[in-house]
Amino acid sequence: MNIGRVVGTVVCSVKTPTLNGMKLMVVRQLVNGAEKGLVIASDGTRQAGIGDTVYMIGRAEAALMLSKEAPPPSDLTIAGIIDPETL
Amino acid sequence: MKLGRITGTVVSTVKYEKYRGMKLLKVRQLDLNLNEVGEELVALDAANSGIGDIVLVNNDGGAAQMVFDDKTLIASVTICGVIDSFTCQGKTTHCHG
Repeated sequence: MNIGRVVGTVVCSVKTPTLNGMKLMVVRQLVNGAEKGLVIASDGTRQAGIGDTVYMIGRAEAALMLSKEAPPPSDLTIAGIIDPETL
Repeated sequence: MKLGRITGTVVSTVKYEKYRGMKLLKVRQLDLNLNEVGEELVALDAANSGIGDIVLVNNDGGAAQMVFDDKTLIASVTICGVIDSFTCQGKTTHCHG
């Protein structure tokens, strides 16, 4: 699971129906503590906000975290938030 | 499967519900000369490992499902064992002190 920091959100009106109600976040990748590229990830915790350090799963089956019945097409899913005081 | 070294723990209050009670660790991939390579990842621990241990890292989603016997568990990196020693091209490396 890769580490990143949430830096923004994505608002998208026209999308595939299974993505309805899902949060999409813009995440700055943190590779060995250094900031790298920006990626878009869906939020499996539904609680991540801007500034949170998160870990993400880069696998299609991680979309099952978002919805078991109708998993949305997501190639990167936030699995949890790292508590800031423990970083 | 890859070699890795545990570099830290991950404390996470908000997480995927299936991770409750499980140990998450930061792991850095190693080459066969024990040099650090690649990116530091968060891994699900199935081997009771600790900081500094040289471990066997499985980079497949199915590993955690098999180890924890839960077909619905989702994890992309699993620590499957703590390595005592390994032999490569006739050279044996011991991983404990």
